[in-house]
Amino acid sequence: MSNAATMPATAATSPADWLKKYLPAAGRHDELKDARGAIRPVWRKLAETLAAASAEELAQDSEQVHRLIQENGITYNVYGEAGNTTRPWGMDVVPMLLEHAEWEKIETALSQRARLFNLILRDLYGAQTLLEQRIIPPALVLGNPAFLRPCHGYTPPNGMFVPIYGADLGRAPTGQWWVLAERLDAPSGTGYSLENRALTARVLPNWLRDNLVARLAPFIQTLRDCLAGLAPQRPDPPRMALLTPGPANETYFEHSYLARNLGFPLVEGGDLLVRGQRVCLKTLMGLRPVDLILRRVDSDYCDSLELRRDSLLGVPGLLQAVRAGNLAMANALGAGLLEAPGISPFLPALCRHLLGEELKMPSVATWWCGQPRELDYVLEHLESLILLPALSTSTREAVVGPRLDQAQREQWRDRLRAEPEAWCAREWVALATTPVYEHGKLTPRIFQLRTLVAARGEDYHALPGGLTRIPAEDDDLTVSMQRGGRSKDTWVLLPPGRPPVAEVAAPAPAVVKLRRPAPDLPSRVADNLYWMGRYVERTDGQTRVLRLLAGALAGEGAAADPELLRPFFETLLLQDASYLLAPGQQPALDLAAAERSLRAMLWDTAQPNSLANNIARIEHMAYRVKEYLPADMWSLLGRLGRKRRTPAETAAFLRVAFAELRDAIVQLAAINGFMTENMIHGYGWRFLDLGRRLERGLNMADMLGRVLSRPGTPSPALLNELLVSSECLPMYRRRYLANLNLVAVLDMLACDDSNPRGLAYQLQCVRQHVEEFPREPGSDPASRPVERLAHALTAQAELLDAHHLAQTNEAGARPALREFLHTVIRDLSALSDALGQAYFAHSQPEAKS
Amino acid sequence: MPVYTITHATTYRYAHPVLLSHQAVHLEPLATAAQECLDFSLEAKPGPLETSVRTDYFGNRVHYLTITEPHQQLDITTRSQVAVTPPKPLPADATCGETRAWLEKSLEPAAHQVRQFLFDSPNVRRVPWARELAAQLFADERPVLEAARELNTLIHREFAFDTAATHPATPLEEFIQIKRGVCQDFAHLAVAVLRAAGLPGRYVSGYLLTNPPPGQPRQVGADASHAWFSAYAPGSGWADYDPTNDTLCNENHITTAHGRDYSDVSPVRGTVVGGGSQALFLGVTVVPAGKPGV
Repeated sequence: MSNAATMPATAATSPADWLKKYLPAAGRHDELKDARGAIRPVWRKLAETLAAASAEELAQDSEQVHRLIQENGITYNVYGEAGNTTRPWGMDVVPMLLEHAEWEKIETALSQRARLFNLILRDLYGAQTLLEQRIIPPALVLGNPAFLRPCHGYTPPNGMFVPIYGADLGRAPTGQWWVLAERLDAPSGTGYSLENRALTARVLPNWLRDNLVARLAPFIQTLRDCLAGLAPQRPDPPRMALLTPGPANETYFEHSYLARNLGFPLVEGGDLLVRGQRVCLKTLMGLRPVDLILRRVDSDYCDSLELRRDSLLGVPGLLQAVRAGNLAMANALGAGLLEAPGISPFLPALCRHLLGEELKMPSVATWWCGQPRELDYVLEHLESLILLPALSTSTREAVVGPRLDQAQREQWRDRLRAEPEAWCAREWVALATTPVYEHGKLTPRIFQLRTLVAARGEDYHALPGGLTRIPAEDDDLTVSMQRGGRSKDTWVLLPPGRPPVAEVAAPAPAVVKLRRPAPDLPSRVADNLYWMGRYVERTDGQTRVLRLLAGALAGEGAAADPELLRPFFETLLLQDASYLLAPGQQPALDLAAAERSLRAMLWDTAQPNSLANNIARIEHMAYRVKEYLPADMWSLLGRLGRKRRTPAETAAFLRVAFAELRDAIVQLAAINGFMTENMIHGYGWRFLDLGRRLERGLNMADMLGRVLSRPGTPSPALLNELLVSSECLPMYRRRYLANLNLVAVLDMLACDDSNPRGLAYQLQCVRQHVEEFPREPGSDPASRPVERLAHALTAQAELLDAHHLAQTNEAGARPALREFLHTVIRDLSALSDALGQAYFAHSQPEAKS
Repeated sequence: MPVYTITHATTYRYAHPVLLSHQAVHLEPLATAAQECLDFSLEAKPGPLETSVRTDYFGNRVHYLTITEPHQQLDITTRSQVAVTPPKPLPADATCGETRAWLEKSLEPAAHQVRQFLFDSPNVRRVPWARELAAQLFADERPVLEAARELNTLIHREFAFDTAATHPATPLEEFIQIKRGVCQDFAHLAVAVLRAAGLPGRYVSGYLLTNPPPGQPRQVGADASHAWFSAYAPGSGWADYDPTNDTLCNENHITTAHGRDYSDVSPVRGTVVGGGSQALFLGVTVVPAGKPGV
């Protein structure tokens, strides 16, 4: 996928030639060229732009798209790939184009289908007259695992089972659109479509400007209004949340993207619980009721009490809240019932029966074998049909008739006769092709179009365009992003003179209730932000020490005495020192050993506390709180986490290490800047910053202890390295010029509460944050260990005196310093634990009875 | 008309405190043509913060409990009084062929209700063994209820009652292979054969009289929840068979719930937060009303 994007274009050919040489296969519809080879009208403008571009430009644009995807952390997770489960999203630089008039027809057809599905579901989860009158064969519903009996008898307000409906479309050789698959349970694709458009806008703004392209952003407002309209009427505004299975889910990127754009908290099952037939979110402020859940968890996983009992993704008791009318689900639980391919042959009759209309867009021809005549047809034409389980939405089990040999076909005929209800057969579809930029040219590739509509009053509005997906291999059967396909930004071109912004006027409420600070921070998010803060700071401190060590190896500062470096290596390694430098290991630290250690501490992932692993920890935490972080931070994190090289030769290694550490320091500074300047200083930021401060305090105390706890007066060289590694040398020089004195150094690093890198300053910040945290009303301060510890720490710091700390005993040791640092480390660690107990205790494992 | 008093005590003990517990209880005896529930009460310790009740898809009463008090032991006790009518002899019943045709064509609401029990369900799939037996027993010309009676006897003969052999999650295939199990397994297998024959098979959970009337042997499954199955013939309605005891169900059988299989009607189903490992203790007594429990 990435190879295609980075392959150098063949210099000799230009895009104008590519258009000429673009030769779609016969027997399929092609989006760019008609059967006579002429460019279709909708493509004219873009074809001109393409023809005028140089091969290099297009290659660069394509490369740029790929880079942005990596930097922004746009991923599609793939289950079951050990080690690395995220895969960068793939977007082709050339968009998919649709004419407005054609699109309007598609939108009308989708809207009709969504209305139809609501009526069918209302009947099946209610009176079941469609079953009683045998308009739908009972086997397809009563034998369908997606028919959730505990949901029967509940009708959502206005009968809105599918406020959001998705359909995968394919185009027939005649140009007619077909529905290939229904997405009713928890349709995905909105977030990826928006992200694709954002990529196009950044890489190819001129392409977008030159064409009148229907905007996607108003769809978010449609979606928000649609969901707010479903919530039970009591609170205003309603409290809504997006329920995700968690970061391991294949489309987690989209969940977090959507949550941020909708302004909903992104929650996992463990963040919610049911009390008093209400679903509540566990927040720092206590339990907060939720009125609507936009769910990306499959229906049957939503309530382990009444649905799948092995599910850990849902909320036990959730169905009771739904039945009591306290909670709306989008989509309604059990809506996935109609995704079964066996249902589609019955849609035309259902449409006539329920809506009194003809179905506007056909499904791909399907025969359900549970009917005798259909079974006979399938048995007879097996060699040209695709067999699918009638009740499964997965195409993995598909059996391709033409690929079976004679014996296999006979076996399948026997199986169909034995369990006809379980199977349906589908026509082999020659899907249309669209131009894809790969290997430096345009190639016709087959595609499917994921379309999405959201309810708006009685009707539905479409996301204009949707998500075009290109399978990894030209296979008419399956287009799965799980198997490594690519996507395309999809443009609906508006007629000239029409404003590209479809006006979505949300009725403005007369009075806005001001909300400060933002309420309802989920406890899990606070937890993750806190740890992200700690890892950012840990990494930041580490880069500075590593730079010092690299400098020493390159002949600066302490190079004359490598032994001086030992305490710094130790701070980096923390408890893992045994890996490289066993305690008591006395042989002098020679330069070769120091270099080996430095290499390991940089990018060796086998070394637990290496820089590479700490950066991975930041990324992991950031991924889990993505929607709370400034969007631009992703390009910084992306750059911070990119693959590094480590030349074998010493001089080259040091040169590269220096450059990369400098980069990392700048990127971490920028990340810290983003966090300070682009986040509301509410509870979320406070937990993040508390994490940073606490970690910096711990690191400073650890470093001071290791460097200064040895008996004897520390050499000026050692004091110098201490100031360098803590980034305080310039400040120190301004105060004391070149006079390196232990008391002055201790004052600056431990006692001076105006030094933002010093220990006293961190302790002050910790206390300020803790005092702002929410607390249970009326609880006794003595029973709040977080506060008690924070107060004790600052009380200690206020009494600090550098002269006292520097005092030595007869053995030359500094007991006051050791005692103080010991207390700080102990109390900060205890505070961190107490914080977990007080605010993050939310995710006890569940047991089932 | 015999009247029974039923006491059903369920106790969970947990290794660690449970902080939040949700339970769904299927233990209120069903009102049917053959029995009347005169009284029902449910008690939980620690006391639930809230309870609610509803009628489920199959017409059973489900009681929901939410317990928010931290606890390491949960006791749920139900007491019922049920009046049971001795079953009448069944009228001559339809053949398998007639029944299948009726199921295929009929637009009557009764047919729709019966078709609910025709298809695979979580614990009952029409496995090959069931298909073969179905082909032997349920030929077109045979009366349905007569064939069901034979199925009942056949399962009792081929399979041994053994409480240690299976657990609620044991797949049907495994039970068929080891040929040992408990009343749920017996009932599931019968239901699978009926469905494989294209006929409705219904799972019934309930109780058996603990000590039988004088002169009758004590029955298997009398000291716990019991389970059996129903077959259906148009014109006759549902008829209940107890394959664990090779008998037609009689006034010693008290029905608590109907479903497609155990998963629809498990007596006490719960999800807890915390708790760690757990142990379950059960005690059931069914005695004629007015007599003390065992």
